[in-house]
Amino acid sequence: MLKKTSMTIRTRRDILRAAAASPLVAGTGLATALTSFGAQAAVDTSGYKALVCVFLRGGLDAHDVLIPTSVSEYNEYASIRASLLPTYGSARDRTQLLSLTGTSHGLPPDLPLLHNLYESGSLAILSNVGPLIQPTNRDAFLNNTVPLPRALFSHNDQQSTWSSFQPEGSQFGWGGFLGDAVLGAGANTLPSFTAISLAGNDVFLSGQQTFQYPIRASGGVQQINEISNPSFLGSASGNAAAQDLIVEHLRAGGFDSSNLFESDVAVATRNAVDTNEAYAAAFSGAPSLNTFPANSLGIQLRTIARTIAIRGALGADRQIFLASIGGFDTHSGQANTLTSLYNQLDGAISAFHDSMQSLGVSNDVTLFTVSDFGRTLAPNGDGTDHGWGGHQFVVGGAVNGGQVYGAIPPPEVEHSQGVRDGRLIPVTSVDQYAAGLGAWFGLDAPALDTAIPGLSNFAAPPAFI
Amino acid sequence: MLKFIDLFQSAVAKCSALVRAPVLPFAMITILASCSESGSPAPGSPPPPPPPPSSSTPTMSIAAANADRAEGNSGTVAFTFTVQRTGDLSGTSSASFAVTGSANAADFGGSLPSGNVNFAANDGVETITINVSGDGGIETDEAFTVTLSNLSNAVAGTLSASGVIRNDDFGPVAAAPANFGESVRFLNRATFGATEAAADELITLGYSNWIQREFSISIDEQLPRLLADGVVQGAQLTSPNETVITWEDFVEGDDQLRQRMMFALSEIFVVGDDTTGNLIGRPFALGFFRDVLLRNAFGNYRDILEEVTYSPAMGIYLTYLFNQKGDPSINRLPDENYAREVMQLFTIGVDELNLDGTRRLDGGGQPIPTYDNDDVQGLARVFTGLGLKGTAFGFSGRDDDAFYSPMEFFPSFHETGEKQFLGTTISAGTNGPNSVDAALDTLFNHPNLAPFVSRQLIQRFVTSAPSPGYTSRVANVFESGTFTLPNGNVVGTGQRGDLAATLAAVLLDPEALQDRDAAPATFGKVKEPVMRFVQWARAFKVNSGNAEREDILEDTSDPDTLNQHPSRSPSVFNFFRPGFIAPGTQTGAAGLTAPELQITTAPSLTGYAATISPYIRDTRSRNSDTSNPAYIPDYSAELALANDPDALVDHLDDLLTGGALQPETRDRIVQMMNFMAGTSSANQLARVRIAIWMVMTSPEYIVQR
Repeated sequence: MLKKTSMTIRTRRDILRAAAASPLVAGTGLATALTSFGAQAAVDTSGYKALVCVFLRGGLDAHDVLIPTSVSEYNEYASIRASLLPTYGSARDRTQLLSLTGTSHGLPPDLPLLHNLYESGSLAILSNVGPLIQPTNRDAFLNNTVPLPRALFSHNDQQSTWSSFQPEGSQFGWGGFLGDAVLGAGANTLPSFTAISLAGNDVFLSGQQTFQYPIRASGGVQQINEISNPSFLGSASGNAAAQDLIVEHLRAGGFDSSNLFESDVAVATRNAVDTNEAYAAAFSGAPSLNTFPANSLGIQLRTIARTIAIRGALGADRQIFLASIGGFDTHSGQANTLTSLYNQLDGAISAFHDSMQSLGVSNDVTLFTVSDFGRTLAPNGDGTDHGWGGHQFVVGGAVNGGQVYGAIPPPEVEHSQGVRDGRLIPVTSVDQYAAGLGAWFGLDAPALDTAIPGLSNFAAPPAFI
Repeated sequence: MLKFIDLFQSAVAKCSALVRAPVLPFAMITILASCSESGSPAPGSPPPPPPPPSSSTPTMSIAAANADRAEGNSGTVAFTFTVQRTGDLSGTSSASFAVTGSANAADFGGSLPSGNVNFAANDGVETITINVSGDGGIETDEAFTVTLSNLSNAVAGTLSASGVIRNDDFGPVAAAPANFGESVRFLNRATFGATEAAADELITLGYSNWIQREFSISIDEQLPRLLADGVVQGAQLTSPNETVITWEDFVEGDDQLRQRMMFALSEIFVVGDDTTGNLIGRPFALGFFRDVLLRNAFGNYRDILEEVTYSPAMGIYLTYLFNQKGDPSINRLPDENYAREVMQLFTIGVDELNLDGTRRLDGGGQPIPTYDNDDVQGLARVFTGLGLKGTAFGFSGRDDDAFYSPMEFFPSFHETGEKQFLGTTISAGTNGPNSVDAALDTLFNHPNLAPFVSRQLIQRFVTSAPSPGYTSRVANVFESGTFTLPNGNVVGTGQRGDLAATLAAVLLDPEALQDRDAAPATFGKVKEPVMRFVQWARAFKVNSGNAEREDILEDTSDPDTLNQHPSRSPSVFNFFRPGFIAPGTQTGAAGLTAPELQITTAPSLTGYAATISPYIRDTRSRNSDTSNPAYIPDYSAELALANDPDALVDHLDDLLTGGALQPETRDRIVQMMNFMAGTSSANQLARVRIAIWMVMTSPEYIVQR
């Protein structure tokens, strides 16, 4: 059975490789660039490592993550947010904040477990991260003297730019390129399980050789009775040839259409059947890991944890996962919405960290957050509007935790890294953030330069991992 | 007959983006890639290969920038190529260029273009523009090659690049479908799915009469039915509600084109009643909103824009209900949410567009942003002071009818200072209604609106990556407001934004109606999952009267079901984006937008196959009240053919795909029928069910083309 599974996977790869060799793909420059992964770059694929990206869709309000705890700065902050803070009740009172050692800032009281992880050294915070073309400050932004990422402040475009350095419509993400690097170095006997998405088709996980495998939030594979229930085949029940035929039908075996949409659907359905079969078989042996909260992120992170637990059966040495939750676009009702989302983050991420410890892989798995953008410091009443830079969490045993990396912006609407009502201009680029994670994942400097094309515009990433 | 209008022109324009490009190698690549980006619908094509190791003499290469285009019908269309110089740029360089290929001199205004390209010191990129003459003749696509020669102070990199002149001329469209399959093909776009009777009727009526008939069918609004059903505020998914009514309308409504247009519009003007949102439990607000779309489905886009802006559902969904004017004394700003999304998603989009839907590019080859954040903040001042009908500026104590009446302005909460955006200034002291009028007029009259809306409507009805010619023909109709049907009758009011004319132009475009086998490989679209399901229900004439008994249909959002539920997208960005290009696919490699592939995944393909099964087999569980079960299919026509596998598959192929099944698929279904032998009624029913399931899980059914 296992042997048959790996054969079908190989078949799939052959198909994909054939597709990748078609002129349409091979004619692009990037294919040429990426072939240099093997020649010039060194990629360490020893042991096991996984990156888990948690996408906070909508734009997390950074100004509600790191809040000043000194009296004078807090008062400035509170005065700018005068119309917003009362909607939190007392939850944004200075005395309620969870003080972060080594800083004069605190987390909101809804993140006690993440605060514990910070204090115990397993969680780092990167301050003011976001898309940049090159280092940028307020003057450069206002005087238009540096190239800027396109479509700033737009949700879908900034989600895409965080994932792939280009706005909507881009084809390759840095998660996918990290996958390409490790696959090129010989990692993963079953390449299908290199990049696993719990967020549908997402450009972040798309590479030249890396084809993401989207799975259900709850894990496992939904049963198709026409395949699994012989009685559905009527008088052919139990006829092995009929059973094979129905599988081959769903795989669109031998399907040949010149139409590109039909071909894409045929390949997608074939991949689904083949990969689902291998995944379902392996997942049936996964531990239950029942310690996660039953919210959306908890369910997703539990499935990722269970999938990490069966990494051996999936033939995985290096994996990249993507989870996501929405709701962070808090134009209105921010206090209620964020409080609930913080509870979800706090419980789910800490449960994930605990499960990695119990599986003995806490040093091998690093979870990190990303979000469309931060938000304005000045509120619109009971909410905030689209910004640019934001703060992100990195969690795991390998993280140099207990620190905030990058200058924490002052509680002012205009400053050297803040414009127009306190929208932050990033001090750390997505490129640098990705490079820090990619280096830990096993890529050396030349490999990182290939995977992250804009990296050479920036200084070395902060040593958060 | 080819007509040549313009004389040969070629121009070499500077790609100014380079001036500011950083000197670091990778950044250089990125900038150059953007500089050479074509005007195709979406960016994101990978950058060109890195330069070879530098030497004292620079390397010169040419690449197509925007050189695969429709020729147009008159004047010239600029096809552009980027010539790039890398290495030591301190000196000057030059080269000659010449054009060869299946295109002839006539395509370029009389002679094959040639010329020189000159680089000044420190200049790394030049653009060669080849002007192609448009015409009205029907011809095949033509290719041409631009080749560099006579290089001075440059070593050869890539010395030639190709362009394709796409034919954009077609003969007159037929008056009626040529056969049953063509009729099914049309109805699978224009309705929620062909039925045998409808396909026969369309052949008799012809396209013109059919569309005019659909335009004349009276509207069956949802809100009165919700009120008559006794739906109450707070009712969610277990009562008679707007989601049940919507399934019923899709399956059984006799106003199919209007329902179909409402569904398409609901994917542009997105509000959602998902369980985490603020609209859950407000069925009136959704019913009122759907009626705006139904009522104006064949009306004018400007009216939809205004009625949507005042609808409580949108006010709640995009958070501008009870949005107050700014108060500098406490650093409070107006909420920017609606101002941003009404521009980005409902009217003009983020980049300036040509009428054919391609992006306009600046002198440096970069897309041109349509607006900046100052425009958003200026427009946000307009949408302040809107509250629910009544006397108080707040939720408490509102009657139900406040949620199904247009929102009203509360003057003391409206910004009365000057409002500036997109070059429009609304003077200080202008009240709310007049400010909204002026703002929506500005958006409605923006040159992006016609291509922005037209391209999305084509994507919803016909094809995911329409040619520039198709988009421009529809956009022209959107602007002129009239369309001439094949029978010579003119539809539309002659007003900009007329949706009856626009929709007729979408459905009756010669590219839409060209023979399926003659259409290019890039034509077609993945059918939306909701459409795939409803098409089955219509084809097999289910009774849907008690749809509220259907547990599954209460919410089909999960990938384990359909990964899509009407009016329940995860955000205002809809289930999928019009600019989505699917990574790792053939359509993606060809740069084709493919919105529905965004929700086509391993779990959702599995979920779809598993979800239609209990409907096809009529074996699913229903909720506690099982009286008058619904969605029971009528397979009498199929059972009559059940003993003849070839005839059965032919029939299903005609009825469900309009004859699109490939031999591999067809043969497998016939083979399965032969495996499932037997003449008992149970044998026959088992065969019919499997055959339908196999057709519905085939790529030919999932894709419409």
